[in-house]
Amino acid sequence: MSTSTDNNASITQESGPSAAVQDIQKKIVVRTADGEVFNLKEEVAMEIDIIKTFFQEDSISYETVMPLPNVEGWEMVKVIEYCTKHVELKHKVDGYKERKAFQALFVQNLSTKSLLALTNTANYLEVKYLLDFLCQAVSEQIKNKDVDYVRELFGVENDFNDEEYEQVKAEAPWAHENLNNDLH
Amino acid sequence: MNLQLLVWNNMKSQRKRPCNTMVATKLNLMELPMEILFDILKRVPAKSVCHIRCVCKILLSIVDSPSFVTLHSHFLLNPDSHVPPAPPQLILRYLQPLYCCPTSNQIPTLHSLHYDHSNAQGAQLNARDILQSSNPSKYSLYFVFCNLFCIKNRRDHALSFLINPLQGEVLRLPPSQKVCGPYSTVDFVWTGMGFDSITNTYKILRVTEILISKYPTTVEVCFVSQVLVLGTSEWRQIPSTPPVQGLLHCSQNICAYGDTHWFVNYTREGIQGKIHILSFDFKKEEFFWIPNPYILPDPTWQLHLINFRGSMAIVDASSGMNIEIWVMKDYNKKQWMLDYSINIHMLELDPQFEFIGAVCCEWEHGILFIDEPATITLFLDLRQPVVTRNLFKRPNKDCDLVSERIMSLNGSLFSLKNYANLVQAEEPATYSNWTEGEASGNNFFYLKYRGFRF
Repeated sequence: MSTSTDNNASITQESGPSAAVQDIQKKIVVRTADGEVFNLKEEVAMEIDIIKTFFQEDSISYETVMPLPNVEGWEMVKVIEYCTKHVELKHKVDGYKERKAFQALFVQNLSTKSLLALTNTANYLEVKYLLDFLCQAVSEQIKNKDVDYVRELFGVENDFNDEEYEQVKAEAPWAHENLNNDLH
Repeated sequence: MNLQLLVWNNMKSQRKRPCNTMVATKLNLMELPMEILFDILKRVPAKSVCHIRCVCKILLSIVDSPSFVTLHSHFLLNPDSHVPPAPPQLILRYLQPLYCCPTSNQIPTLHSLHYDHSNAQGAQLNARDILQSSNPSKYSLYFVFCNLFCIKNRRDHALSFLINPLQGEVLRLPPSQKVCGPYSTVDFVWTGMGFDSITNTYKILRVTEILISKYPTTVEVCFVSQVLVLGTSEWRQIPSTPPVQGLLHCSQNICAYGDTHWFVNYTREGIQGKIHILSFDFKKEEFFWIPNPYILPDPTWQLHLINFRGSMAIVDASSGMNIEIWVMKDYNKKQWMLDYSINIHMLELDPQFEFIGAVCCEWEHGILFIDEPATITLFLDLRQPVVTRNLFKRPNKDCDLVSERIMSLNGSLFSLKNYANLVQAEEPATYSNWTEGEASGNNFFYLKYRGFRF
């Protein structure tokens, strides 16, 4: 947080690109499947590889509204939220705890199905660190839960008959004990 | 401009996304693209993966596929994965007399063990039979690697087996080529196992320390290193040998991060202290040293090298005042951090309990020690701000249960069934003729699942 008098150094910035730019942040506009339009800061938009490729590699002007036909409005909101935080934490030296706290809140109110949809979206939009985080979050939900719980959580039908099920279960008897079915 | 957009739209709509969810806001697990499902499942600990198998047929086929097992194992062994640690599976090996012959030699049995710490009355160990083998005194433990462990025959160094206790698999390792000439004798053989992430193979290292008699009275020490790629039948000699001259006393061995590590008693040039960590990199097939966190106390009776929450750790109980747990947090940078310092006096231990000579490993919520006579097991629960402990005393001597060793296995899906030399572990018809069974490995047999409590 420094101020300068004579030289051309930047006026203080809390976060943002390292270049000492005083321009108005460029905006990129996208439209999601449900017709919602989002204005993203350039630096956040560039975290999303599919957008980055669209504008940079194909040299399309920023005035174009990029369509995202496979993304819902609410998903875009969450992605923007995560990417914005990620960019912010990039410039912090020790953001570990803050990141963990943010991540916990991020998934707190998401239902399992929403979480899965968001994971799929992160894959489509090509945001690697978000995809890694979401896959990890889904795996946490499966961990240490018994078979019925997993079925219910993910809405999967049991297509084993009783005999087959017992057989599969008997192949690893040690795994089917000491479980924790708490919802947390 | 418009044309560009149209082309773009066309391209992008062909990206993998199930078309029936184009406007859906919610998804089912099975509607995810396969690569994402793999990405999620590879992070799930092995025990939970066994439940996933039972959920439906598609998941069963995914989880049982060799490519998934490989993916899961690689993820587990990669130091960059930062896998959240899964609770280890404890395996108890203890001696039990033969049912038909109570006064005969006791045979060791292996059991999966669960420490039930929720019971306010005191701890209970719940054990499930897994595997039995013959005559315990003839085998000793070489190493533990993920969910496997390796034992060797004490009389015949060439005879060794890799065991996957939870799946009841026993693999006989090919005997290594003779390394001794007429004037030399084998002093010590040590082994370790690891994973080469470049060739995607599992390898076992065997180092033989040979004493060569030179006329008239001198003895030279020489090392021969051999590597076996699991699945092949020949040991291959490699040029790299432990970077020492003279006899090497090696105590504990752990396998971590795909490499294998030993505590060795050796004075390194220019470096203080006599206890160091010698490691073997299975990718480069070379030995290297890992820096110590501090000058490690000699001897190693109260020093332990263990796997702890997915990392390598040193447990130091030598000060008599504190038990310190140093964890290698970053394997790439080889940096240690002191994670726990537990005040021994506050633990209020049984005066009979002695740290010297104890065996240490990890359990779900901390570390445990078994004292040398194997009468007391100390469980330390590290979750509380003040570490709690539970001493579990063996029943009295009249009882035939004597704990020999508890091993801590990491959850891995790695299975031996695709390798040749897999021994059929099945219940034998008679208990006679152990020696014949020994050489072939057929004296390991797998008991049906049954439970009991201590």
